[in-house]
Amino acid sequence: MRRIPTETGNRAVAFSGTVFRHLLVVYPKAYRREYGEPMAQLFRDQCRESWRTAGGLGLARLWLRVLPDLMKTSMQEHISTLKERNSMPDRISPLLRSSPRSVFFAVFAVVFLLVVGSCVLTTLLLPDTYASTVLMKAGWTVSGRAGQAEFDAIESEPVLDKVISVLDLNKAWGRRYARGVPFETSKTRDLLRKRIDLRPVRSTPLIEIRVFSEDRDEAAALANVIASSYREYRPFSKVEIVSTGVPGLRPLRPNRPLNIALGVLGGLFFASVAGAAITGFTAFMAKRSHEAGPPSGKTAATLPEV
Amino acid sequence: MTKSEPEHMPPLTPAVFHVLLALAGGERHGYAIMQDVAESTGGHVRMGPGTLYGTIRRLLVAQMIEESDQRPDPELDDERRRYYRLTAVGQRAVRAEARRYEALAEIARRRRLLGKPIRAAQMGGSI
Repeated sequence: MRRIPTETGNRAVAFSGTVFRHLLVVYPKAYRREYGEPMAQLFRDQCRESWRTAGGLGLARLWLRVLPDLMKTSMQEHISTLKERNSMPDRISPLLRSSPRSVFFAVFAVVFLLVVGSCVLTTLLLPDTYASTVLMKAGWTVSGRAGQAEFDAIESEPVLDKVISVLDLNKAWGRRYARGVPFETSKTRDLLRKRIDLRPVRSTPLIEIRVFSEDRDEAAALANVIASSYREYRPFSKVEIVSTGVPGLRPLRPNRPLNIALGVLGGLFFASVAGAAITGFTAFMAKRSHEAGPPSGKTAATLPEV
Repeated sequence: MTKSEPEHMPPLTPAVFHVLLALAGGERHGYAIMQDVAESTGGHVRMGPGTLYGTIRRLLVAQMIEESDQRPDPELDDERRRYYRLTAVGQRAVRAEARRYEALAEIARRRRLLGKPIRAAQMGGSI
């Protein structure tokens, strides 16, 4: 579908272009001087085309394609620039000539983008997990050894096997995780145990049965069937279901805003540390090279690798 | 045996081959090269600005392409755009690489991994 350029579209394209232009700082200076402007122009053209064909989503897809390309090719260009120089002072002379501030910001930008980019990508790729909770009331305060015995009973084979049979989990999970091959009951039971979280409500006779699943309805069904199976398993005790499990409205995990905020904080920290370390190293090398005299200025007369 | 035989030219990376193939169709600027590559590969190969200009830089250094002096009419296109064209070395390199691919395709055909080639005449057009 072709979109007519709008005010929002123009603004998004202009903003993307400006950000890209700033990101070009990750390339070697000489390369940037020669190809920075054509690259920025090409990116603007790509932005316009992406916006016309798919709007904001197209622009986001373009960024996801361009950022790794930018990181990869900037490293290649730095390596290729270093290969063209002979001695160590020659190799790091562009860094030594740069002001400490520009070295810091270049390293900061690369590390920050790498950390935040990988954090955002991981968060977006993680599957959603929903939780559903059933509240049960035992006839006594759930604590200590007695409480642990109750938890063991809830996770016992008879209770879980009943849940597996009622919800036909061997087939359902086989379809989902093993391309249609039904699971063995023992495997389903192990998987089910990992999805159950049991908690006593302090100083009360209440037990919380929390179950996790990628499917919100399945999480609720599992929690409810576990509770009813457990009650059937203990017919002579005074166990009651206080509240049944309902499908969760929002996924419990991943907590995307939190993950991205942590990624930004982590990015700021690692980028500052890396920026300070590299700036310190280049200052040290600059001092040494100043003491040792000017660099030789020779360049390797080798043919470029095509 | 001419100088454009495969053994006289080094093998090319896919990115370089794509750029040279695009320029074999005539002078083009960066964005047009990128579009040509995307179209000719059915959208499977999409070059980013970094890959494209890194490849262009290496090709310029290897003298396989050169910057064209001609600039487009400012009314038709952005006059700041740089146009590139193949040099004689580039022509030989892209031909040699195409022959290398052809030889590989012939081997694949003999081993029944590929069908018979469709001739241009059979398709009712020319290549």
